[in-house]
Amino acid sequence: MVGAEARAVRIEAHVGRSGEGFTVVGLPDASVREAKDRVRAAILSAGREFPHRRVTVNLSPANLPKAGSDYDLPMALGVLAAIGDASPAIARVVVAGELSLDGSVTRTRTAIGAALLAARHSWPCLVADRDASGAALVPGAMIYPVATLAEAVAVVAGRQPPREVIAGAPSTFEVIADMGDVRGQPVARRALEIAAAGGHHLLMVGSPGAGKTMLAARLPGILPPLTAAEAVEVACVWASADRPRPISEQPPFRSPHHSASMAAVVGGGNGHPVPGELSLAHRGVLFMDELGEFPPHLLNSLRQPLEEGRVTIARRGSTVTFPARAQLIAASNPCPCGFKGDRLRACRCGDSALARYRRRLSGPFLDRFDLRVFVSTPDSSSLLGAPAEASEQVRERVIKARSLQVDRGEINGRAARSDLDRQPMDSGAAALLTQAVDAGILTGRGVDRIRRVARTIADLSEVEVVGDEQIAEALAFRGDL
Amino acid sequence: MTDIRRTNELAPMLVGVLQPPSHLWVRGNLPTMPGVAIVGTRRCTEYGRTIARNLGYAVASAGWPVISGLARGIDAAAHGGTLDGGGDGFAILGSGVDVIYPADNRGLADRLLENSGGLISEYGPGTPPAPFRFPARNRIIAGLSGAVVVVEAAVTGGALITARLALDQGKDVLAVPGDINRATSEGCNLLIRDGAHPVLSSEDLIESLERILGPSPRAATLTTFPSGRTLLDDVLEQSDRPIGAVLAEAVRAELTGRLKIKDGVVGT
Repeated sequence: MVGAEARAVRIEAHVGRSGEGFTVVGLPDASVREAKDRVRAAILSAGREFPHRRVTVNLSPANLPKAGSDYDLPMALGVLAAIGDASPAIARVVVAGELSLDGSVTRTRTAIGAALLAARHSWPCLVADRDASGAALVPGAMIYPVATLAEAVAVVAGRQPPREVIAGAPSTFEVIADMGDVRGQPVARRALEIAAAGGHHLLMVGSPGAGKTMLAARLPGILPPLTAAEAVEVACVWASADRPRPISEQPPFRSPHHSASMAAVVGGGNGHPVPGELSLAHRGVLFMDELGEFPPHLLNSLRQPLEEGRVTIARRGSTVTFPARAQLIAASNPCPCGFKGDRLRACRCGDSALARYRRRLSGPFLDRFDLRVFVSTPDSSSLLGAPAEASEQVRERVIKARSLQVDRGEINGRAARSDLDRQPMDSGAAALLTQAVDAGILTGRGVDRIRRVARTIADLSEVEVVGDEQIAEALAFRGDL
Repeated sequence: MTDIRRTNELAPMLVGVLQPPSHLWVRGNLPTMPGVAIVGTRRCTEYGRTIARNLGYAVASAGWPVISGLARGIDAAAHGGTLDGGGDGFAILGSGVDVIYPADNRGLADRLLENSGGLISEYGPGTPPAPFRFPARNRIIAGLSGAVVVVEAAVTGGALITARLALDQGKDVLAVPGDINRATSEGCNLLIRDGAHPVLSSEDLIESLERILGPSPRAATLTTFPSGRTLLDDVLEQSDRPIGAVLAEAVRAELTGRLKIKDGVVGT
């Protein structure tokens, strides 16, 4: 695995005429070198002979560092093929599996990645029994499940037809936190719907207890379900973080604490790079509560990945890329004491403290948020009122609006200025934008944000040409921090 | 070309006009209520042009029809501002409604028609423009308006004729003060000396107009926003209109300086 992507490693095995020993070359790390003993034991347990000659296994390309136990099974097959015990009947096969000393094949975190790689080249793919139903969900994958080394040998040698795999169903979409629980707060609800429909980053500002976290947790429930390909991508990223996640239609939701390290949020780590929370939120939602408490350098290092949809981690001699198309939703208090604009409590902050606080929250990072909304604490009467519209209904509108964007090529939240320029806008809309800039409530940079949001509002109401009505509503979410 | 038709629907509005026309020729729509005339000289300064545009925008945003004469200068700027403000603009012509004079303003006329405005004239289709027809059409401008705003005018201009006709019809006249050394401001300054309301800003104009004509038409729909300070959320909760529409209205009101929204609180 390089980043979240599986690379093909060719296994070459050579059995010498004399001598004794077992060498693995091709930049194996300690975990791969240990495979030698597992391979030897598994071959013996499978009732075969381990050659009493010099065995060399090369992992090619030799300059790519290798780690993990996935090479056990392919190495064992290679050795057996070299001594003529398992002449392969299949030209090329992708094999990923760890071996037990008793010869059984145990599961590995790279099964889905391996299946993806195999499917791309239309090679068959050998994986452990328990990995098979998940791997079979990869579109176009030809999965051969094996329980033991002996079975793997039989399948590869063509002595036994591969067993049929029943592809498990992807975990289906489930609304975990329902919008129906949110009482009142129509502005925030609307902002959440627009954010979901256009994939816009959303910033919520409001007093403690106003319900920002509650709202954020409801975003995944109104997002469109992941497509099969997206679900596989997500599973691959999670696998590369050593956190197996079943292939699921459910967009992931991650919420790192502001004390989390740079490596934990953006990705990195010592030695073998692992994806951070940003990548775990790929195709899903990254919620950053108390945005102002995150260290500024961390926020800055999120900027580029958010824009490009991937994180690149440089290591000596190599760089690793993890996907990171996450939708950001952030929450912040309006002021140090938290009660500015509150229904009941008065703000106790001095002007200079307030200015300092806002300065911390400003800057280029804030520009990433197309939508900024002030979340007011709901009053008691709306808390006791009738349940609000459920996520199910909201999601229907979101899915419709999204499909319009997919037809055009890119979701609005990621639309560049050139994409926006291709979108029709009527003269009233243009005039209103000019007016907003002239009135000083909008900066030049803000114009693109408003245009993106207005496009999503138009998509939600199935309007083809953006008009002044959509621009005006989009301006309501411009924020004025 | 939009259909030309003959109508006497506006007769009730033109009762006070000297020698009211028996009918009018129209392309596009007719004003549904007395409008606000914004008039001035053709040879205007950049100052006048900007003000005319801003006032046109403000009046249109407040929801009154804007009436002018589609001449160069102040008239054209006022019509332009009206379009920007998303309002209905009506041009009263001194020629047939199919004869756009000056030809430069053909695009402007088309945009008025596209944006639910209209072109109106007492002269039949094909009538060419002639100097004597312009002062005559000014009485229609005054007639269709509840108030007349003069932006820049010399003492001899047609704008002052419109202002005088409006006064004769018992209507209010407002004027934008200008440089006392400039000929194109003399007319306005004179009007102010003689009792016209001075216009000090867009907001000031809207306030004066509300005193004269009653609450602005958009204010009627602005009842969604109570006076004083309220949470935006509460306003939306109490309204049964779509959230998007109310938010859009709030922003428009904010742009015209009628509302302030900050930290989720709406203030007037």
